[in-house]
Amino acid sequence: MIVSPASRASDGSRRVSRTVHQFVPNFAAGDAIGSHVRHTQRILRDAGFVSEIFYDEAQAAVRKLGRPRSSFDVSRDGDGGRAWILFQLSTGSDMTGYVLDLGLPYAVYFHNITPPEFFERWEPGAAENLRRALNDMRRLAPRARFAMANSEFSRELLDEAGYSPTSAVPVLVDWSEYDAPGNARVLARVRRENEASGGARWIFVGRVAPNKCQHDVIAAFAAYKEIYDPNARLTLVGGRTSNVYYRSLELLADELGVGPSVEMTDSIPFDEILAHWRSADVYVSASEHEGFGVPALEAMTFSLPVVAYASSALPETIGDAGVLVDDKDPVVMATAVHRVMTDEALRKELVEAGHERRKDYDLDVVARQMLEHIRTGIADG
Amino acid sequence: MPATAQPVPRAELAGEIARAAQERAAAPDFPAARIARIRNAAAKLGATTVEPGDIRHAALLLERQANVDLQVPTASRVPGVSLVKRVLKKLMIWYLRFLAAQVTAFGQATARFGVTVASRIDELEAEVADLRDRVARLEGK
Repeated sequence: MIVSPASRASDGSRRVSRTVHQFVPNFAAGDAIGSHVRHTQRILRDAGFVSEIFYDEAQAAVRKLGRPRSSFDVSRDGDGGRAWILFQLSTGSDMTGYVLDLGLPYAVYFHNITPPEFFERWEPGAAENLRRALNDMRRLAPRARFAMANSEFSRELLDEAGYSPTSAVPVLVDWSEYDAPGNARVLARVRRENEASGGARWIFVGRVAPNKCQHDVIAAFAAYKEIYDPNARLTLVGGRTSNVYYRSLELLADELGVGPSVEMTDSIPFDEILAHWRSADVYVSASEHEGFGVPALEAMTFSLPVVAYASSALPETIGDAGVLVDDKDPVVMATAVHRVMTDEALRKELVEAGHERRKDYDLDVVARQMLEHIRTGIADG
Repeated sequence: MPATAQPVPRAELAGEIARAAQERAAAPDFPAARIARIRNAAAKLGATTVEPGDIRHAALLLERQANVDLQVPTASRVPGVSLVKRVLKKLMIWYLRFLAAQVTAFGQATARFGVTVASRIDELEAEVADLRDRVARLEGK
């Protein structure tokens, strides 16, 4: 039986649901989606909602924070048919069909889906999963009561897929976690290297995936070393989404003769990531597809100027608090970095603008937006 | 979405940077050959799409995927696990090499088969086109 969440009780009054469960196919400890899901649950519970997290797969560190989907029981968890499902959409999964068959009202939070063509040549299986994810996105649209996306860029994709109403609510990030000093051993090692080389330290943070275009960062870095700063160093922080692409990046760095100056960290503990942030001079992104772009805001948190290729959601996330280039030719990007490294006034201005920009995404600010959209969506749904 | 707190004319800056890059590229000491090499090497790693009917491209993808990479990732977010992975990698590398050589050979043979089929299809398509022309000419007579 499908019951409207805002259905009328026997006395004629509207009874608005106080239960919102989140469904997330892969619940991970260290990624932006896992963090977002945990914060969303806290916000909902603080507001008086009953809220559980249901997953198909979960990393050991967060397994106890949620429940496997198989344990979901409509008669027990469904609040008499009034419970809402908040589906966290980012990948293709069997969960889509399950949510559609449940008959409960649902909303979607869209974390964006990388276009499959980025993975086609590297990981055909991953490309297939992304095609499935896009199909899932379209399947969920007709019956979704409302949908939220992590950016305006992502929201437009929801509109194109037929969702209504839609809104943009940024990803929830607890910035206080970035106040920690970072791993002392890594920090000391990288700072020693910086002092010895005397050159600028570039950093890019993000999964090693073809859509992030780390190969273009390496190319721009090679040009920068050649033209402006032969002692520069580059740190690419991030675990592998594609092994083949990762290996190709190592080979590219060697082919261009910059291998010894490029550090690829792969997957590392959070305190080591903080140490790399704290020892960098400039954040450089050549990514061609970002649903939101959390690392750009992380860079602003660490008072780093941001130089980014103006693609997908990055212009709206960075705003005027970074240097956005429309052309990611290695020489253009290298020149942009050279400018922020040598123009002290500009650098200071960018760092200050970054601090202000980041405040717009403070956890309590975004949490209020999120709760308001969920409450409105449920009341209207 | 939130508004920017301190707007600055970034569009002008982007223009200045583009002009500065052009000027640098026009300078006599600009390392043009080296930069061209950098551009070409990076361009090879850009996104590509495989058309559904493109057998040759699909065979190339298969060949690339068949090259088993023995550099098993050993990094880990969990302290200590990376060391365990590195030890296991050293202990198992001889075994992995043996398997990898066979998988790679199988993949290359399969890819070769795909290319052969594609060549044969090309020949047949050319022959069919030729026959169609001849039939059309005969019907015209």
